[in-house]
Amino acid sequence: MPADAGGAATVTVTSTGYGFGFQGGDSPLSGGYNVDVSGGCPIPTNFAQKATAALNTPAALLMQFTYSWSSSTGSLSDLAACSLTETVSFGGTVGNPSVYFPSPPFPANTVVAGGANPYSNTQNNMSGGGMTDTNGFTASAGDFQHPYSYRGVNTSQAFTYQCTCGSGTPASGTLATPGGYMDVIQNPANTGPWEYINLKGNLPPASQQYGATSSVTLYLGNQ
Amino acid sequence: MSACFKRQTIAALLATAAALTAGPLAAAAPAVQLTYSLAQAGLTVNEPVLLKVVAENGTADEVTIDLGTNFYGNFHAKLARPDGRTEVVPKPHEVVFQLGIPGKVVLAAHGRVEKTLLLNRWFRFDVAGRYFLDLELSEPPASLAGSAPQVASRGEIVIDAAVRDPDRLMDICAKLEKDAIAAAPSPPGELGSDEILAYIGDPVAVPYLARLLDEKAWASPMYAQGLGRIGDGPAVEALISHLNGISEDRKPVVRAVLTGVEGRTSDSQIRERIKAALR
Repeated sequence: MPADAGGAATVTVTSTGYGFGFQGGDSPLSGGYNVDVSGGCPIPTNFAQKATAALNTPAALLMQFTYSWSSSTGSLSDLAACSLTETVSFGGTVGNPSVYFPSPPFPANTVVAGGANPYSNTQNNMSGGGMTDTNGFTASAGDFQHPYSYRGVNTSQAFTYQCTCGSGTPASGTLATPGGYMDVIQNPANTGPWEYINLKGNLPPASQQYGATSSVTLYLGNQ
Repeated sequence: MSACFKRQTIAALLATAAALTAGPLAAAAPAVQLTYSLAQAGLTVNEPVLLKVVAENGTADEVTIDLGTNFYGNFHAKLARPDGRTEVVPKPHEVVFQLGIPGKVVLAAHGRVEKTLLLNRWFRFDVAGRYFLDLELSEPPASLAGSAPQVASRGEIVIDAAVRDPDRLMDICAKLEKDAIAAAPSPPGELGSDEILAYIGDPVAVPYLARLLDEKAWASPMYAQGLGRIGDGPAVEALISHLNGISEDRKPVVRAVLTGVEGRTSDSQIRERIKAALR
């Protein structure tokens, strides 16, 4: 429950169908549960991440994910007054936590959007039941700089929501916190071509939600 | 020049010659034509600039084109400003994290679709004078190149911005605030008055955004980001004040916005103020 919530709260218990130690059957006890304490507002539930193909174009190296969710009331139209925000934190380069994308090997003058760490962006109105998330570089493989060496940047994302309903207390919470990294790496180690890899991690449970890896070869052979 | 380089050059020239002689493909009329026009005239500095994009299908078949995330993501735009600077979108080598809806647009046979884009999402129009905007859609991913429709998307727009007019900006902000309070949230992917207000990068907008930041919880991240783009003393104070009045789980966005201002600002007082607030 949000710390600033006051008054009565609505507690919605939803069977999600995957277990936390219970096995089989159609009993409600066979599944796990999302427990949403919303202060009275309809809120998103069952947030799921679905991977899609890499969107690598001549000008950009991108991955796109789709997300889906349900409404605690059963009606997505009740989520019109909810917003979804993605906040991304950059963990710093391996060996140098204050430098995010060193060049070489990353493209020269690489910056995190808006110069912020963490960085955030928001999409209003969650009544559509789904959205996309585009991650990656506005750079081509040819923009990566020699000499190549292993450099990686860890990222952590948080998807949060805010919902309001009438004059009631706004509801807010965290939907998911996937991790990932963006690396320049030689695969197989020390022998193969250099690659730029963008990986986004799994969200539990693995049966419904999964991460993905997009990789682009930068140079064929050893450097 | 090495022999290897010579071989590559010759191969490239042959490939180019082959492409140039591929007559039927090169001469094919594009399936879709995009045209652009400004949605309003008589602009002044820092006003919202709305671009009307019309997509027309010249074929007898249904065609789908992809404008990218939120209908913006696949555009490449270049703006020549009156002060001589040139800016491009997407910024070279910027790391992108973009949340939004898919930008696929379905065009019926010989049909047309209109979209309105807010150019302030890409650029600031903060100097009086004439701007030249050049834009087109990016090439589709290689995996889709064969199946994607041919789209003629290149276009040029001239935008004239008269000198800054604070009274006019206040009128615009007041109207947008009123609309934002009265209106239900815009459908996902559609431009709403709250979003337009959040992209007015002028100090005049600060009190309007600050009020909405507190009043409209579902859109508050958007208003926080709007204040962050302005990034002056009053905007930072509004963000810090809001930060102090909300629950822990709503703080990360405001903190992220303040961190961004701290990294960009050249004002040491603002930097110190943010540092102290985030401590």
